[in-house]
Amino acid sequence: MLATILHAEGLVKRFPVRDGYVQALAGVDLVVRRGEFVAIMGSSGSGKSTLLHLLGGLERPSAGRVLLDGMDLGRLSDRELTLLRRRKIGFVFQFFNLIPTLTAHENIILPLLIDGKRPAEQARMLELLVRLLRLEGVLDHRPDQLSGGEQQRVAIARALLTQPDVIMADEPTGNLDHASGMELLEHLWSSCAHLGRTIVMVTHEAKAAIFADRVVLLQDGLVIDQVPLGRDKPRDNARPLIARLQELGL
Amino acid sequence: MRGLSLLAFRSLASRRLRALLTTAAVCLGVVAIMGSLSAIGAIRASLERAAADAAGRADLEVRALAEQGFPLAVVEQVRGLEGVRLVAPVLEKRTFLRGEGLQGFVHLVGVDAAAEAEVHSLALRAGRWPGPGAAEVALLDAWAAGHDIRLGTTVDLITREGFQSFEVVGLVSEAGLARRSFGRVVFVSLQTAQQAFGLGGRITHLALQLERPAEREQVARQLATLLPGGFSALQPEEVGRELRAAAEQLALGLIVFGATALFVGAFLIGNTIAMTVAEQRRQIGLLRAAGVTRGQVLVVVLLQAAVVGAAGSALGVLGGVALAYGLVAWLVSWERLATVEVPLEPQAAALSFLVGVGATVLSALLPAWQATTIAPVEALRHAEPQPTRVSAWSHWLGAGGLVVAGGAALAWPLGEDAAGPARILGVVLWLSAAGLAALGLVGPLSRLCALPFRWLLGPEARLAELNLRRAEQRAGLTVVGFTASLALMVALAGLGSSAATAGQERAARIFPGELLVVSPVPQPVQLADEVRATPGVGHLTLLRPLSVAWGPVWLDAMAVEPADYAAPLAAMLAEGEPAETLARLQAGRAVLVPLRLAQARGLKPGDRMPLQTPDGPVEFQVAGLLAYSFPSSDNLGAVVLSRQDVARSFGLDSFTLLAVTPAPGTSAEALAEPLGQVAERFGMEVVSVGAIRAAIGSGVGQLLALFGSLIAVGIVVAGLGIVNTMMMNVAERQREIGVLRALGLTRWQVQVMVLAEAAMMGLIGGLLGVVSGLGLSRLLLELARSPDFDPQPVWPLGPAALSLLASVAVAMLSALPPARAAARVHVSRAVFTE
Repeated sequence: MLATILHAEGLVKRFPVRDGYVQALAGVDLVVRRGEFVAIMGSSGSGKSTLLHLLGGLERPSAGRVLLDGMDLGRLSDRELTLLRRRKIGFVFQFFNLIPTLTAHENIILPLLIDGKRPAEQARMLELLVRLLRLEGVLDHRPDQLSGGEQQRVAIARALLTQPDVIMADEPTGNLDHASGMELLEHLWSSCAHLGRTIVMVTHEAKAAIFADRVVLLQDGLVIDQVPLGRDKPRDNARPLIARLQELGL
Repeated sequence: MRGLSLLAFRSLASRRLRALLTTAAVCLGVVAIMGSLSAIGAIRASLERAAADAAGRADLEVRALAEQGFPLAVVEQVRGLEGVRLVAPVLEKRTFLRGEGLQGFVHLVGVDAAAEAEVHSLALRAGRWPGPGAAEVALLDAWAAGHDIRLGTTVDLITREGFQSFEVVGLVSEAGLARRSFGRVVFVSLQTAQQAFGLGGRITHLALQLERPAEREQVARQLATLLPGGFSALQPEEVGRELRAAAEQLALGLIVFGATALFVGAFLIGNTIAMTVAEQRRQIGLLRAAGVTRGQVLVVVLLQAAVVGAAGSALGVLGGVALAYGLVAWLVSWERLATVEVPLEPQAAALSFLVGVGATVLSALLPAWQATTIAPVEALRHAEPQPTRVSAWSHWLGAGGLVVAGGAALAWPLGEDAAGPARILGVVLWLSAAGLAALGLVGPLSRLCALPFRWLLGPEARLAELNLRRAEQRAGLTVVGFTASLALMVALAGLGSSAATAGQERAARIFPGELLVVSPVPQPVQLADEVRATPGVGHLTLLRPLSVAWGPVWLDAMAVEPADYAAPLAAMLAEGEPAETLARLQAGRAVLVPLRLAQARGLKPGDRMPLQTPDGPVEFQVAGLLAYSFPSSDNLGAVVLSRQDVARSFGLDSFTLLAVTPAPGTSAEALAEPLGQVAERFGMEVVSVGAIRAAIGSGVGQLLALFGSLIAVGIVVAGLGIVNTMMMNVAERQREIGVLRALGLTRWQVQVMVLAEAAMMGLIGGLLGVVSGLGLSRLLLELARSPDFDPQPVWPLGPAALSLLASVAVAMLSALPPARAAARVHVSRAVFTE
């Protein structure tokens, strides 16, 4: 049995609005084990992105708690939470979110620079990622000189470079064409299968979710089901996942 | 048109903070202009009144040529002349006053109160006039209040008997004589003045009212037969001429430095409108697609500028009046003015308002024109605000700016021919060139200026540097404010330091020795021997200031001992061989004339100058021209005569100044005390040349502080520019800041990043400002250079370094609100929303 890396208990999140509040999460319990690839699926407004923000320490829950490697994120100060994100969590965003003034290389090593570390400390990892993600020819390019797929590969390299405990990916294929999207998911799957990374990915696409070990299904802010999938052949996961989604009317 | 107005107002309303900052910038600019114009109005009004009061209702002012003045009996004879209605006799002297916590020279005026009130508008505010022959004085009420002197207070005055106590019995409203002496006037009865100063029944001048003013000439002819020892008649309109001339330099400085804030504000306004246009590309595109013409787009943008300009200018006019009161109160506190009245001139208000609105609209012209070029399709394609990038031409622009500045420096007509407006144009050209340089050189300079920050801060500075370079035009327009303000500040410091140093060096040269013994009244030459006998005195030379009449013109003169002046003369002579000139002066009937006076009156070496003496006109020959001389009331410098000539021709064998050199081995400090004891016995005072030098430095420093305060308004406006630009930058970069926060950049690091970007802008603006300021100080110095003002340039490195630090500090302080806003960016909202 793999050790638990991420544990959410009774997560509730409410957003204040003019006449009261909107409840995005209504009490979510979730356990993610080290080295696991978990996909979170749900229809629009189901609370999947909010869950990812809470798990990644970007937002604080209204109730409940998130434990990352046994550490209660709600008890951390803003600075401690920021340092935790810097060292233990990697993010991959839907809109790539590269810094436009930095080159691809500078964007990849940005987490190291922010942490005051020298890029040489992760030189071997950088070399490996650049080779794996086929970024050799674009390292000195700025984001506006890269294709969407290249930008997202740079974003993955950035998320993996510091070898964080968990990678949070929010609709990473949302802005990519089919081929680029598949290639990216294979990279994520590979980093999980071969590098031992833990990945939590939000997606609304079944074809993306099949790369995960487990799919968590959300509806109206609650986990309504969790679907275990096989790791060896992601494509074989499509049939059982789609069948379950249809059963649940998602 | 109504629809377009609505668009303009809505646009302003939706960007309240930006509109507010721009209004504040315009307001501050207009405050400085209105303040300067009103202060100039106050200075001119004050001096005009001084001139008018000095002349009063007299038709003719008659001054005695001889030191002893006219005998009192003459007054009755003049009263009896045909056509003379009233005669007001006056005795004027400088003397020394000592009161509680107060001492210094004052202008003693002995008057016949009844006649003087008729002629010079003297009005008693409290108490009564000093009684004839009584030990009583009347003082100017404002000056007395300023020094905590009330009716009944006792003050000591140096008389021929030494210090004597006088009771203050009257307080007089401001009068012409009072204004001319900056309030330091002591009125006594004519009889008291005559008794106290050993002038017997004599007076120094007469103010005459005539039955028919047109008959001045006839009355003057009658006077010639009546007055012994010669006299000079002065017409009232000539009285204020010198005073007005003195005010013009101050007015010029106030105008130039007062305009700084608006000059800086113009860049902020242009930048703001450019940012608004960039934000509104989509809206403008939609309007163009809907059929709005280019002209209408122009109107919408300019209307926004005009509204902001009008609001800021209206507030600025009000604030300017308040500033003028502050400036005038400042001048009064330095005793450069004797009044705090600020005239509320509608013309000044209208001019300031129009200049404010005009500058705002002009600054908005370029971005407004850019708005008209937005193509509907392009605007719809690029919905997000695009920071304007600086293309290669701007670097050429920067280089061009430097060339223009350099060219202006080399080609500008220098020296006396450069009049006031030419100086203003020179400053404007130079600052414009510096501004162009700032716009073009932001990119290259950002690399250089980022180095210390990268070394100190690391990744935050690297991010800040890259952010700065991504919107070079915006950064350029922002740093121009600092460049222009600091250039003026450094130039002012350079000019001031050079002038002060030159003045101090001159003071040291014209007074040989290290100490001066000053007497309020002429002293017999034998008294100098008593002073010479003081232990520690090495060498001593006698000086005697006097006034000489050259035809109808009165000239200030200084009688010197030629033998003692060999070394100073060598430095003071404008041309010729010092030994030869000295020999001519020593031979007698010779005079040394300051170059400016010679140029003003068309004199050259060898010319004859008939001077009025008690025995009639005596011809003196111009023995040489002096590059500079002792100070004079007409600012042209005093003519120099030999002591022997003055004794022989004018009957004045006395001194009022002794220049003392300590004996070898004795320091000036050690000699000051025993010398002071001897001097005090004879009612004299010891002043060190060092104190005079310090006073010159302090005087220049006060003027620098006045102008510097106006420039500081420009630096505040430049700070507002930083707030504006950084707020815009933070708003545009919300997503990036969110990403950086998600990746682990702490709130503190975000603030450091924003502050570092602002600090780099401050440093770039400061560097350009300091460099161009050093050049401008040299340019201004050359423009001001004349034969009697020929200083060595002093590079104000201390003020330059301080200005640089101030620039960075102001930029960082101004960036605090945007830095806080950046640190508060909500990460998930910024990053995960499209």
